[in-house]
Amino acid sequence: MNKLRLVFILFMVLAFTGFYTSAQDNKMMYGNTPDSIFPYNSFQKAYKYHFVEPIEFLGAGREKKAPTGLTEVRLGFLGPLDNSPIVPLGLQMLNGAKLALEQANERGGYKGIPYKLMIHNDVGLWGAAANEVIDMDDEGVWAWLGSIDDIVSHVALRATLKCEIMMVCTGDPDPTFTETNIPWAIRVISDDRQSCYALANYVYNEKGHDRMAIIRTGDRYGRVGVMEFMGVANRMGHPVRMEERFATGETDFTMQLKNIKNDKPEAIIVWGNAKESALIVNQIREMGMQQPVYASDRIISQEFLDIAGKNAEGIVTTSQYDPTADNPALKKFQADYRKKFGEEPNVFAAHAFDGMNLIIKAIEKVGLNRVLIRDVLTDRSTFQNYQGVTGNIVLDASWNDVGKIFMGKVENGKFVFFPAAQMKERGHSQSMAGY
Amino acid sequence: MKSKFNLTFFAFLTLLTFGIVSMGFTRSEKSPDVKESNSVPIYGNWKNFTKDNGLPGNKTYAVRVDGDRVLVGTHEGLAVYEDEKWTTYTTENGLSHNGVIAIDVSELTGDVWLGTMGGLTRWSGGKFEQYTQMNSGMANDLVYAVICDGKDVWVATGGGAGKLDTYTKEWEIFTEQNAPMHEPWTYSVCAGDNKVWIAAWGGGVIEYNKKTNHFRDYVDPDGNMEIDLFPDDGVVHDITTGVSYSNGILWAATYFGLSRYDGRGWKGYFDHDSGLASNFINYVRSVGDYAYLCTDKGLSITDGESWVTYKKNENDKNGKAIITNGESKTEKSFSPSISHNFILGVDVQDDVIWVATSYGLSRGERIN
Amino acid sequence: MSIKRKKLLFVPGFVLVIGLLIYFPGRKHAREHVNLMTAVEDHPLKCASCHLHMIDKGPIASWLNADYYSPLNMAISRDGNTLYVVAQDANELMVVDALKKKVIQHIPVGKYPHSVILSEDGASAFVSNQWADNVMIVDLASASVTDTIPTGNGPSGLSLSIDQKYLYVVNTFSSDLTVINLERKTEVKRLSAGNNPTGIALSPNGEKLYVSSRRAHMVPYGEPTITDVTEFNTSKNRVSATMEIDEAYLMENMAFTPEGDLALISLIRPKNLVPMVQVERGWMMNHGFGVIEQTGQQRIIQFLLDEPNSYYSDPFDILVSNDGKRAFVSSSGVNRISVVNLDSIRSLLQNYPEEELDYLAFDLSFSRHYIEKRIPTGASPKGMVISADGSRLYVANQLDDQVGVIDLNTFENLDPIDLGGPKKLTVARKGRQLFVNAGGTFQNQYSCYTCHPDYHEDGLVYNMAGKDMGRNVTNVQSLREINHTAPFKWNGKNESVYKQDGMRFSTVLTRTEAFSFPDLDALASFILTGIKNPPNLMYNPSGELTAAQLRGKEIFDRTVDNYGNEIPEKGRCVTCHPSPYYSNFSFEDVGTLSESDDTIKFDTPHLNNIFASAPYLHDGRAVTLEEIWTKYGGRDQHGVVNDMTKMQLNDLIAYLNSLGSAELEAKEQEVLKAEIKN
Repeated sequence: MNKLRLVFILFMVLAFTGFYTSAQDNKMMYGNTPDSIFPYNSFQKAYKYHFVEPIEFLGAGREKKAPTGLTEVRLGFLGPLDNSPIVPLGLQMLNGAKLALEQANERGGYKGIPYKLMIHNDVGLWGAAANEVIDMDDEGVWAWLGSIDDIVSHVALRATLKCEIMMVCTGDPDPTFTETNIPWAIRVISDDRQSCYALANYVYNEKGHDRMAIIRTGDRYGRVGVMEFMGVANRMGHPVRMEERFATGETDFTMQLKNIKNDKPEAIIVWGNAKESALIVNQIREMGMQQPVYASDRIISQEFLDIAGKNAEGIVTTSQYDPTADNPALKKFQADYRKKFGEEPNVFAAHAFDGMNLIIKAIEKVGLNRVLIRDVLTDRSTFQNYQGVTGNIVLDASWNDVGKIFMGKVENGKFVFFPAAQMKERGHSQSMAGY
Repeated sequence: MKSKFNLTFFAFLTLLTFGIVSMGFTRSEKSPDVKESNSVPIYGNWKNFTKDNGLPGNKTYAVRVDGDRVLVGTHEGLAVYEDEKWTTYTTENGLSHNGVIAIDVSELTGDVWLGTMGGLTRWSGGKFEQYTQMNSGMANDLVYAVICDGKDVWVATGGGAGKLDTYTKEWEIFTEQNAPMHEPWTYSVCAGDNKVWIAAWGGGVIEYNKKTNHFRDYVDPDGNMEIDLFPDDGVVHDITTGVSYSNGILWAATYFGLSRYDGRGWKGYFDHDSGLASNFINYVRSVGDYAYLCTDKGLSITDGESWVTYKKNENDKNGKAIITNGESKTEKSFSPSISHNFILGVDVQDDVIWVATSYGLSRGERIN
Repeated sequence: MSIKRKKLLFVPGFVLVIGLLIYFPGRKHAREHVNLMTAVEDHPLKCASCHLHMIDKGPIASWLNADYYSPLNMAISRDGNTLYVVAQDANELMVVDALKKKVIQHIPVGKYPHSVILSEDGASAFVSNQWADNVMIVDLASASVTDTIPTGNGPSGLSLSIDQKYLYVVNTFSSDLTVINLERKTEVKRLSAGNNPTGIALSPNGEKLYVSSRRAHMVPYGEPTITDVTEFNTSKNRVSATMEIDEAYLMENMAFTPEGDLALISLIRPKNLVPMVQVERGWMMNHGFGVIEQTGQQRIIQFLLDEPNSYYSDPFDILVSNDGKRAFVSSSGVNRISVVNLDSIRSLLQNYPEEELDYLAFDLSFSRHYIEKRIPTGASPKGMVISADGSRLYVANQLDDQVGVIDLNTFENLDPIDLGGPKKLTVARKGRQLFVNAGGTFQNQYSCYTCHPDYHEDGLVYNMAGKDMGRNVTNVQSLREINHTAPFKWNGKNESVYKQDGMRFSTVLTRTEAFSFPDLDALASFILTGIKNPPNLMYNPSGELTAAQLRGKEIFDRTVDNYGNEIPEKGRCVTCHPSPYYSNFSFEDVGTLSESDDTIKFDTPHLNNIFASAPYLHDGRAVTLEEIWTKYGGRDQHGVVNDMTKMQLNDLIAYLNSLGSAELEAKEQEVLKAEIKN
C-alpha cells in the first residue's frame, strides 16, 4: 500500500512538474550575474535566456561602395546641449567627442579627408531624438555617438535601427538600453546593473547593512536605476523598505526625508543628479540623521562637492572608471582636455573620447560603409579589451560594457576611487538549471 | 494509522495543488484554439525587383497592394507599380520624407496613408498632405506604423501612438501619461473588433477598447528582460515590434520570438520550437487565418500550427520553402527565390504575395 | 419789466449761456474725438454715424434693421414653372410660381441654408443648411421636411448621383465631401476635397464629380497661389484626382457642358504678391473662368471675364445653356451676368498653341473674342438656373430680395420676381450692398467681399500697406463679429472701422474716390453689426467642453508651469486673451516680427472661432494653430509653452478650437444641438 502510494506520488511529481529542454545549454549568463541573484534562479529554470550570444545583423548593405569625392567624413553627435537639466554633462560629452575628432584630424583624418562632427541636441520632449537621428541619416553620417538621457537613447536606438547607422552610446547607464536585441548599438560605459551589483555588494556584504531607504528622482533615470538595485537587494535577502521620489529641480525634500527619518533605516541611498543629491544630503544632516549615505554615480562632480561641503564627507558611490588611475593615456587625455577646454573632464567626457576613438578606428579599419562599421564594432574581437582612457572596455553578448566598476568615496573634500570588490560568485556557473 | 493516512493524504493534496499550479505555468503542447491545418499557403514563381529594374532604391521597408497597383515604401521614396511600370514619388511631390516605412490604404475612402521618417502623409487623388508633430497634434514625426480604422487613422510613432479623426481633423495621442505604458515608444498598431492594439517598445501590447475608451496592457509576467520564464504565460517579451489582428487572433512580434493571443490565452513560438525562421521579427501581418512573419532570416507563414518558411540561399538567387508540420519537415526548392532573407514588409492579395526586403522586392504566386 | 417777465427771460438766457458754455468746448471735444476716430477733419459730426448705426443688439438694433430674405441659390422644376429659392437670411426654402412671379410657399429649413437641388422625379428637394451641419429632404407635395441628415461642417454645394442613390454634399468648413446613401438616409463616407470647397458638378455621363475649392494651398508669402479642383469617381465613391489650378482661387461654382466636352469653373486670379497699391495700374485682381477639357489633352485653361479698364469682379455662379453654346457667369461685384460664347472658346482651344492659351489669362483685351454680352442684374447676383426649354435664365439677386428674369433669346431683362422682402433699405443693408460691390475700387477690380468672402477672410497674405515689394506682408483678417474688438488692423493703428475704411483706405487700397460719409456710415454699420460667426459645430456643438478642451482651458488659465514655477503675467494665455473676446485690445511683441516689418507691436487678435481663420500670426506664417508654438513660439515669447508636453499642447489647441462666438448664448447652443440631433 505504501509502495503504491509512493509510486503514485512519484508519478504525480513527474506528471505535474513541467520542465523544458532549453535550446541554450552551456552558455554564459547575461550581465555577469551571479547565480544567486539571477532572476528566478532559486526556483525555476527559464524557458528562454536572452542576450546569451550576440545576434547578427543579416540585412543588406555591406555591398555598398564608399562614395567618391567626399570632402568630409561626417560623424554624428546626440546629446543634451540645450533646454535640459543635464546640459553640463552633455557639454562634457561633446567636448570629449570633439577632442577625439580633432586629434584624428591632426593625424590626417580619414585618408586625408577631415572628420566633421554633426552636432544634434536631444531635447527630451516629444521624441525629438528620433527626428535627430533621421536628420543624421539625411546628413549622411557614418556612425554616431550619444546620449545620456535614457529616454533619448531608447528613442534614438529604434530610429538608428530603422536607418541602420551605428550608435555608440557613451553616457546612458540604463541597463535596458542594451536589452533590446538591436544589433546597431554598443555601449562603452558600464551600466547601472553593474553599478548596482557593486553598490549592493558594498552596502550589504561589506558594510553589513540590512534596512536601506532610497530617495530617487522620479524620472526614468531614477526609476530604472533603483529598480535594478532593488531587484538585487531582494535576491540578496535585503528587500528595500522605503522608496521616496523627488522631481528634478526640486529644492525642498523635507516631506520625503521625514518619512525616511521615521522609518529609521540603517543607511540611505540617494539616486539623482548632482545638485538635488547634494541638497538632499545637506537636508539629511540638517534633520539630524547620521546614517551612512550612498549615492548614484552622477554625484561625482565639483558641483556636488561644492553644494554638499562637509556633509559630503564619507559618502560612497560607484564610478564607471577611475579618473585617478595611473594610465598614461588617461593622463594625456586629461591634460589635453584641460588645455583645450579649461576644465577637468568628467566621466561623460572620458567615455565620449573613448567612444569616438572607437568609431574612428572602426572607419579606419573597414572604410566608409555603415554595415561594415557596425560589423567591426560589434564583432567582440577587434576592439574587445580595448584600452581606452577609461580603462579596459569589455563588451558582453548584448554589446554592453561589463568592464570594472570602481567605488568613489568623498574624503577631505575629494573623491577617492578604489576598485569595487568582486562578488564571491562571478558570472553564472554552468551548472545552473537551464544551462 | 489514521494520522499516517492523513499525512499521506496531505502530501498528496500538496502535490496535487503543486501540480495544478505547475500546469498553469507549464507549456501546453497544443493550444486548444489552434486549428488543425495543413493549408498554409505556399508561394512560388518568384519575381524580384531591385534598383536595376525600376525601384528607386534596394532597401524596401513596406509594401501594400492597392487594387491594381502595388505601393512600396523605400528609403528613397514611395514606389508605385502599376501596369508593369514603376513610378516614384518623393518629397518633391509632397511626401513628408523619402523614407517611407509604413503604408495603409483606407477601405472607406481609398486614401493612401504613408508613415515616413519625417511625418505622416495622406495621398488622396494624387495630392499629398502632410501631418507632422509641428503642424498637427501628431506625437512624433518618425511614424513606424499607420493603419486606417474606419474614419480614424492610427499611427505608432517615436513619441507615442496617435489617432487622427479624419472627420474632425483632431488628433488624440496616447503616451505614458494616459495609457499603461512606461514610456511613449510605440512601434506598431492594429485594429479589429472594436479594439486597437499598440505594440509599445518595452511595454508589451497595449489594448484600447473603443467602446469603453479604456486601456489594458499585456506584458511578459516574468518582469525580466533577459529571460522568458514561461512561453505561454503572456507575450514572450516586453519589447514588441509588431501587432496584427485577424479572425479573432492577435499576433505580437518581438525581437525575441512570436506570441499569439486568442482573447483568452497566450502562446509563444521561438525558432527552436517551431517553424519560425528567426526570433528577430521585424514585422507581422495577419490575413485571414495566417500570420506572415518578416524576420532577419526569411519569411515565415503560419496558422499557429503549421509553418512555411522561405529562405534564399546564401550564395545564389535560389532558395527554398521549409514546410513544418509538427515534427515533419519538408523542403521545396525555388529558382529564383525571394530577393533577400532580411524581410521588412509583406502583403498578400488573392493568391499573390509581395515581400519587401533589405535588398529588393519579391512577388510570389500561390502554388498550393 | 415785471419780476415775472424778468424771470421768464432769465431762464432761456441761462439755458442759452449754459448751452453755449457746453456747445463750444463740447463741439471742440467732439471734433477731436471724431477726427481721431475717422482720421479726417471734415466729418459732419453726426453722432448717429457711430453711436446709432453700430448698435448691434437690443430694441434699437431691431428697430434699425429688417429681416431680409437674401436669396442665394435656386432650383427649377422640370416644367420650368416653379422656382425653389434658398432664402439664406430667412432660413427658408421659398416656392415661387415662375409664371405668375409670385411666392407661393415658405418652407422653413435649417440655419443659413446654402443650396437646393431637386430629385430627378421632382418630388423632393434637398437643402444644405450651412450653419446646422445637415441636409434636409423636403417633400415638395406636402411642402414639409421629411428627413434631416447630418453632414460634415458647413454643407454647401449639392449633387445627386446619376442613379439617384447617392447625395453628394460639399462641406465647406471641414473641406470634404459627404456621401449620403439615400436608401439608408445616412452619411456613408466623407472624402477629402481641397480647401474650403463649395462648387460641385457631375459629368453628364454621371461618372465624374468635380468639387472646386475656394481657398488656396497655404503657402509662404512669395509662392504663387494654387487651388484645387478635386475629382471623384462616382462608381467607387473615391477621390480619383486632384487638379491644381494655378494662380487662381475662390472657385465658387462649376458646370459641365451638356455634351460633356468641357467643365467650367468660376474663379478669381489674385495678384497678392505685388503691393496692393498697384491697383491703379490695373493689376490687383482678375476675374474669370477656367475650362477643364474632358477630351484630348484634358488641359486646364483660364480665361478672363475682365476687359481693359473694366473688371467683372467676384464671379459666383457659372451655368451652361441647354444647347451647350453659351456659358453665363454672375459677377456679384458688378451686378452683371457675362455671356460667354462657348463655341469661340472651343475654337480657341482647338487653334491656339498651348503656350499662347496659357497667356490668355494675362491679356485683358482678349475677352472680346468670347464675351457676347453683359446683362445687368439687381444687387449682388448669385445663383442661377435655366428653364428646361432654355428660354429663361433666372438669377438670385441676393441683396434686392428679387429673382431676376432674363430672356435668353434676346439676353434682355424681363420684370424680376419680387420675393416680398422689406421695402425699406436699412443703413446696414445698404452697407452690405456697398461691401459686395466693386464700384468703390479703381475700375471695379475688387470689392471688400473679394478678399473677405463670406464676410470672413480669403486665407491669403497680401503686401498691404508698403509700397516696397515684400514689406509689411499681412494675412487678411476675418470681419466676423469684430464689433467691440477695436483697435483694428494688424498693428492696431485704426481705432475704428470708420477710420480703417475711410480716406486712407481709398488712398492705399481702392485708388478711387473715398466713400462718402453716408456710405461710410452704412459700410461701418454693416461690418460691425451684420456679420455673425457661424456656430462652432465642428469643435463645440453643445457648448459643453470635452475632457481635452477642459484640460486645455486649465492650461490657458494656468499661472504655474509644469515645474511649479510661476509664469510671469505676460507669459499667461489669459492675460492678453481674456474672454469673452479673448483679447485685451492691447499691443504686444510676441517675437514674430519679421525683418521686413515696420517695428511695431501687434494688436492682440480676438480668438472667437479662431479655428476657422487659418493661417495664423500677422503674416500667416503659421499654417495651423500648432505651428504658432511648435515653430514660432520662440523662447516663450508668445506665452510660456516650452515646458509643455505634446499632449498638453494638443489640449490647449483643443480648447482654442472650442472657442465660438462671444455672442452665442447657451440657449442658442441648445437649439443648435437639437437641430443636429434631428
